[in-house]
Formats: sequence, C-alpha cells, structure tokens
Amino acid sequence: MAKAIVTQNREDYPNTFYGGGGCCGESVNRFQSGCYNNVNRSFEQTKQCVQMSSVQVLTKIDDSLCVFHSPVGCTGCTSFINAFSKLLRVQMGRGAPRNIHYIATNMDEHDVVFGSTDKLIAAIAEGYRRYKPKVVFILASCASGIIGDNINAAAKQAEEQIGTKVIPIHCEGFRSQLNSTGIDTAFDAITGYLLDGTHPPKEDDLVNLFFPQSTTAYDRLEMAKIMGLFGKRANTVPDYATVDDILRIPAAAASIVACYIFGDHLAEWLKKEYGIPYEIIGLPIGLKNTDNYVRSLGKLFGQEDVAEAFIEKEHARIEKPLAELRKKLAGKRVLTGSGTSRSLSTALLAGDLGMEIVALQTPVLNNDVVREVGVLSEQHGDEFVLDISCVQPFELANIIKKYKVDFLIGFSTVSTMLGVPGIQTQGQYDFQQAGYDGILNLGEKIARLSANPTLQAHLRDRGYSPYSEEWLRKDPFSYLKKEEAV
Amino acid sequence: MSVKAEITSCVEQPRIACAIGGIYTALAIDRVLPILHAGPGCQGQAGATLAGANGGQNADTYLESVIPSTNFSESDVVFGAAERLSHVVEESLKYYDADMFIVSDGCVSQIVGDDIEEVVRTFEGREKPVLHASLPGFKGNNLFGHSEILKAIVEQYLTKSDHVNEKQVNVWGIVPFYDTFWVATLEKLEALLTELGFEPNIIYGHGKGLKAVDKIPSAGFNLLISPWVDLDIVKLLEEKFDTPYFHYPNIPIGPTQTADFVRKLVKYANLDEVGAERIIKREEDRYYYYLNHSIKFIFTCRVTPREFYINSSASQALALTKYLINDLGMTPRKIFISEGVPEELQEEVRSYFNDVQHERPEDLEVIFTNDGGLCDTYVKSEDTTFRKTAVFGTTWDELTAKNLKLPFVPVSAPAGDLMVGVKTYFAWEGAINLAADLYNDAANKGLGTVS
Repeated sequence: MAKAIVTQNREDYPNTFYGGGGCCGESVNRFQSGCYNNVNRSFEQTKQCVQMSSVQVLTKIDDSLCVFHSPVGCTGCTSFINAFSKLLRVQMGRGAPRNIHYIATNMDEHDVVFGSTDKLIAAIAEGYRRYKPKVVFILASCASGIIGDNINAAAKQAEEQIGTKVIPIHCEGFRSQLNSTGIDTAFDAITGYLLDGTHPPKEDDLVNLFFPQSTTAYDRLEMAKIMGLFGKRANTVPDYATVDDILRIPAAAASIVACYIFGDHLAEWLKKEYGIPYEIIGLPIGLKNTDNYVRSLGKLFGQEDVAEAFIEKEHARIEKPLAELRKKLAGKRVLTGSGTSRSLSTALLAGDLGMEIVALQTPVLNNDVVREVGVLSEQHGDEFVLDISCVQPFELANIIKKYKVDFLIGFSTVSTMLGVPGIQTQGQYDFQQAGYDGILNLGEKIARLSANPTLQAHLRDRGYSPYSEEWLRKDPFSYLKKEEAV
Repeated sequence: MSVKAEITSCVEQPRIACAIGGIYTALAIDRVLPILHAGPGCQGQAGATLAGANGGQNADTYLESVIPSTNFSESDVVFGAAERLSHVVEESLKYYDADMFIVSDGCVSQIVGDDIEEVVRTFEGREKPVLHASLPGFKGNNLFGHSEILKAIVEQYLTKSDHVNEKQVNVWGIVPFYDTFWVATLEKLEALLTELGFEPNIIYGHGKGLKAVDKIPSAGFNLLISPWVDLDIVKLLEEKFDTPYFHYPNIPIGPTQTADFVRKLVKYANLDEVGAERIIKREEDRYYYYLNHSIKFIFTCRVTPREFYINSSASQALALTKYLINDLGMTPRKIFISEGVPEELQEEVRSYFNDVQHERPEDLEVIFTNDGGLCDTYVKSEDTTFRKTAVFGTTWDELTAKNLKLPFVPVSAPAGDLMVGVKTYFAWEGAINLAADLYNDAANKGLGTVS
C-alpha cells in the first residue's frame, strides 16, 4: 500500500477560524484575547469543494495525469480549469496550448455498492496509455471516500503495473469546510511522495515562488522579473511547471510564499527538511505588499540596499499617476472579498487609491489576517465589517445595501445585480495586478468601471436581485449560530 | 443493422455533467429555485460543463452562487443533515423571491441515506410549492437529472386540466443549458410554430415560468424534438393527462429537414398545409439567396471541407449529420455520441441516422460512448495533410482541430469560453449561421482564400 499521508484540515490549525462576522475591531479584540469562537452558518449558499482545489493544483503540473475516482460529474470543473489553463500555459511561455490530461472512473450505482478499485486501476492503465505521464495522481471523491475504496492500495498496485509513480490524493469534497485544505492535500502529496528523500544538487540562484492559483501569468512573470534584480531565478511552481521543475524545489536557495494559505505548509517543510529559508508575504498587490516582496528578497539575500533603491525608484515613478487615480477614487466606499490573501491585498490597494474600506470578506481569520486587518485599521478605522466566510453572496448583498458600498473588489457578480459596480479580481487573466505597474493597472480599471456603472444600474432597475426586501433589511449575520462553539 | 458502442472503462473530457446538473433545468424555468442537499462543490462542477464553459452561460433568475446548499461536511456524513436541510428550506422560503422550490440531493446524501422526501413533506401546504428530486451523480448524468426534475414537476405539482386547448402544443426535447443554443432555438421555434397556427407553450427561458408550467396539462399535444431525451416525459404526460405526443427525432437544421419537419407536423395536427407550403417556399428562397450570396467564397475555399467528424450530443449529432449530408453535400467520417444514451434506446437512435440522402446510410459509423476523449484519439491518428475533415464538437476538440488545422465548429456542451448570444443553428436561418461558422473557420485556418 502506498504510505498514508494525513493532511490536517485548515480549520483545525491553531488560531484559525472560518465562520464569523461583525465589526472588525471587536472581532480582532476577541481574537487577541483568545475568546474568539468559530460559528457555523445555519444557512449557506453553494461553495467550492476540497477536490476542486486539489484538481486546480495538480492538473496544471505539465506532464502529470489526474485520475478522478468519482462519478463523471466530479470532473465538471475541468471544463473551466481547461479554459484558462490553456491560456495561462501560453502566457507563461510554457509552450503551445493543450488540454489538461485527466481521466475518470465514471463511478456508477454498482460501483458505489460493490466498490470499484479494479475500475480505478484500469483507468490508470488507460490514462497512462493515452498520455504517458511522468506521475499519476488519484483524486478521491465524496462517493469513493464514503464507500471506503482503498485508493492507497490501488495506487501501489497500479504503480507496479505501469512503472510510474502513482500518488493517492485524499480530497473528498466533504472533508473540510475550507477548500484550501485541498491545496494542502495536493502539496502534502507532492512533498510526501515526490520530494521526500530527494537531494537534487543545490542551485544557489534558484528561488521557489509559490503563488495561489488565481494569480495571473503577468503577475507571476512580473515577480520573476523583480527577482532578477537580485540575481535570482524564480522556480514558479507548481502551476504550469513540469515534474522536473517540481523535483528542483529542494534545490532552491530560498522560498517566497505569496499567500497566507497557499504553500506555507510546503515552505515550512522545506525549511525543516532542507534548511531552505522562506518568507511569507501577502499577494504582492498594492504598495505595501509589493514593497514587502522586494524587501523580503533583499533580506533573504543580504541585498537590502538593492531592495530599498528599487522601492524608492518605483515609488517615484508611479507617484504622479497614482495621485491622479486618488483624485478620481477618493472617498469611494469599498467592499473587498475573495480568497484570504487577495482580499487583504486588494483592501490595502484600495487604501493606496484613496478609497475607504467599509467591509472585508475573508474565508479565514488567523494571525496573518488579524495583523493585516490591524494595518488596514490604521487607515480606515476599526469599525468596518469583517465577514469570515467562503463568499456567501446573500450576506454580501445585505452588506452592500446596508453600508452603501460604492464599489466591490472581488467577485463582481455579487454586486452587479444590486446596481453597484465592481471588479472581478479572480479569474481575470488579461492583465497585471501585482507589482508597481499592477497598482496603476488595477487603479485605472477600477476608475473606469466606477465612472460608468450604467449596465449595473440597468440590471438593478430590472429587479434582478433574487432576495426579498425583508432579507436585505435584516442583520447580515443572522445565520451565525452564536451559541455554538467549535 | 448493428449498434456500435465502444465501452471504455473510463472517461475523460466531460461532455456531460452528473445528475446534479439537472438543477439547470429548474434554473431555466423563471423564478424556480433549486435548494441543494449536496457537497459544497457539486453545483460548481456541473456548472462548469453545462453553463460557464458552455457558451458563457449562467442562470438567469438565480445566479448559481446564490443557490442555497447544505454543503455537506464530514460530521454530516456521519450523522446525516436532514434537520439542517429543513432549516435551510425554511429560511429560503422566507427570504428568496421565488415561485417554486425544488430540493435536490446528490451522491453524499443518497449514500448516507438522508430522506429528502420526508423533509419536503413537512412543507406541504405552504404558499409556494416545494418539490423534491434526487440527483445522485452515481445514478446517471445530467440528462437523467433533467428527467428527474421534470418528473418531479409533473408528478408532484401538475394536476389534470378540465379543458384541452387543441391548438396548444408543449415543446420538449431541448435540454436547457446543456443544449448550448437552447434559448435562441426555443425562441425561433416558438415563432415558427406560431406562424404555422399553433399556440406553443415552452416552459424554459425568458418570461415563461410557472404560468407556462401550469398550462402543460391542457395542451392538445406534446411536441418532442429529440432522438430520445424527454421521450419518458411525453409518455408520462400521455399516461397522466391523456395528452398525445408527436415525435420528431431532432431539431431541424437547413431546408431539407425543416421542410420535412413542418410538413409532418402540420399534417399531424391537421393544420393549414397550403399556408405551411407558403412559409417553406419563402424561407427556402431566403436560405438559397444567402447561400448564393456567398457561393464564391464557399467554393474558393480551396480546401473546402467535404468530410466531417461529429463528437456531440445525440440531438445535435443527428441534426448536423442530416444537414451536412442532405444540404451541404458532405460525407461523414465518424459520428461520436458522447452523452450516455441508454443501451435500450441506442438502436432506435441509430435508425434515425438512416434518414439521409446517402447511398449507403447503414455504413455511417455512429459510435455511442461515455468517453468524450475517444473521438480525439481517432482524429489525431488521421493523415490530415490533404484531407481537411471538419470537426463538430466541444471545446475539448477545439485544440486538436487547431493543431491539425482542421475546420472546427463548437456545437455541444461544453462549447467553450465564449458568449453564445442569440446564436442558433435552427431551421433555415440557423443553417446559414452554421455554414458561415464552418467556412469562416476554414478560411481563418488558411484553408482557403477569397479570390
């Protein structure tokens, strides 16, 4: 049997909460005094599952094959992942577009009753025949998990049959409240099955750059370019990387983690196993986090002077256009939301642009979030709304109305039907958001969008909001079961 | 005649969603809200293939992200979550502006044995109807789910009408969202039926909703336009409301099929045949005017595609095959039907492919499969240097066609990351759109030039 790797669910991390909402100052106080209780919502709208996150990481490894041990429906997300990964592959300069490589066991009623590891092994063989991958990942599903199919044993058996590494991924959709657990599950499998015990020759100028999957190619390339100032090369893994790139991860001199919930685990493991130092920074969007990125490179490589000189030069370069943008956007009331890091970075960026934060949605409340919220509070006060959820549109709609939000940065469809313009920051692949140019790009786009919200207004006037007025008048956090401590 | 089915033990490149995709049929009916008792990602999985990556669609009244869901967690798997579902339904009734709610559950709920029917029973007699439909992915694909949703409406909501409107015809067989072009197809079909003298009743799309659903039992007959999907529904309606049905095996594309469709339908319903002939003549004249208008372009495409592969739904495959053979004079290479047609219906579906002006229709290779990637392996193995076979398929086939420089038209889910707009290939005008898409792609790939 392939060895069992048990990934800790994100919600079980110390000091990590995934359900809550209220005034940010109060939430932070409770967090800091150790009396924050996680609260589940008794009403929810659809979310993402753990498996989708694992799929997003693993299908993008260039010469891999994913085998879904699931009913055919659990492969649905590949239609969407394929659409943008074709594009990003080209933008990243990784060659011609191609479809992602995967196959599914198409679990049916019979399989659910009798188990279907034989079918799984056959699917791996067929997938191997079609794609000749360098590594195969088996992705578990809700159904395979509940019926208890032993994918570890199947992995071992298939591996012997095809002579290629077969790795089981325990990403059952229901296993965690936070889909980011799926990222950890994928990374743990990479470390445990691919990297463990490998000792590639050290490459002193190589730096691992771990970006969340939602990062655009232009952002990745910009960060790699800045790294070049310090004489270093970026190993941008695992997205659009080859198995060889992944095997080079332990060869790196350092790691940069551009997210609070993506790759932190992996960077820590690399430090423990290989002594590779790392820095966790937020997504390098907005002045503070971009500076942070540059400074952390300076610190890691003892080139603080290079970092400071570059920061000063770049600040001077964008000063004037940024001032122009501030004039256009000053005082606009903003809600930012999305994944944890993107939500916080874009909130900081909104501040750079002179906008006012009235609400912030983040899937997780932990030490990193509390620290960043503290930074935000210095500029925006500590009264703004903090919504700890994996995007619940009904709460956001309520908040947008109640707090008279002028602009949404995050999942823009949430506000569109309410007549409020917004910018979609995830799933946008056509522009650069990170780095100093990213500040101007995002700022200009936000200014353009907020200058002409006519389409949103037309949609609002046609009454496209699905909720009754009664809901919009209620407390947005009515469904937090306050008494329930987890 | 034998039915050729290639069974592989596995599938790739989904052209279908699982049963939970049935919620898209509910979402296509204005102001009908599904409530999910399923894993957190189930809607997203179905939506990618059926909506988002299928012509850039999303649900209209209720954007998918607002659908209430119990989002099964690990403890729910152990202890069940029926009680939580009951609460979610109660709150949805309070705060969603909807005319009907359909509680739908997926794999997890079904395996752990939650009884949604029992939960829904406690909502009987409320102001708005609350129905239930079980849509576990291991039981079938989105077409099974589609059927379960319609059955739920017929069996749990509709009652027999005390009058019959002979002119009213309900339209079935076009699966919303899954059929990429459903909105515009239904609109055009509605206009044609109206001109022929019917009172079409369509439940999906803009401005229909429950008032159209309520009229279902009073129809003179049900019109089924598909090789097999919804056959169970029209039979159920016949059994329940004594409504007869007229079955035409596919959406008509182009002059030959559309004239055939109109003539058969008008004859069946005893309507004005002379008037129908007038419409056929007018539209055929218009069709050939447009075709003539670009005939030089078509024939100066020096490598004008003469052969084709299809990898699509049964309905689209049949419609295209007939149009491409009967009207454009092309020849099929292989036709893959990748939507899991039930085995007992495959022979009948195959037989409809014989209705073509081809010397040996029985030679047409029609392959039933669940494996969307199968077609790809054939296309890739072809020597395409001088043989520019056209590929009609999904976004999954697009790259293969592009890399081999073969003309390609997306015709089936997932049609791709594009906006479908008002496009349809239905009838005469639709056929011009289809021909244009085909020859444009050939020209864009450098397969011909305009002289």
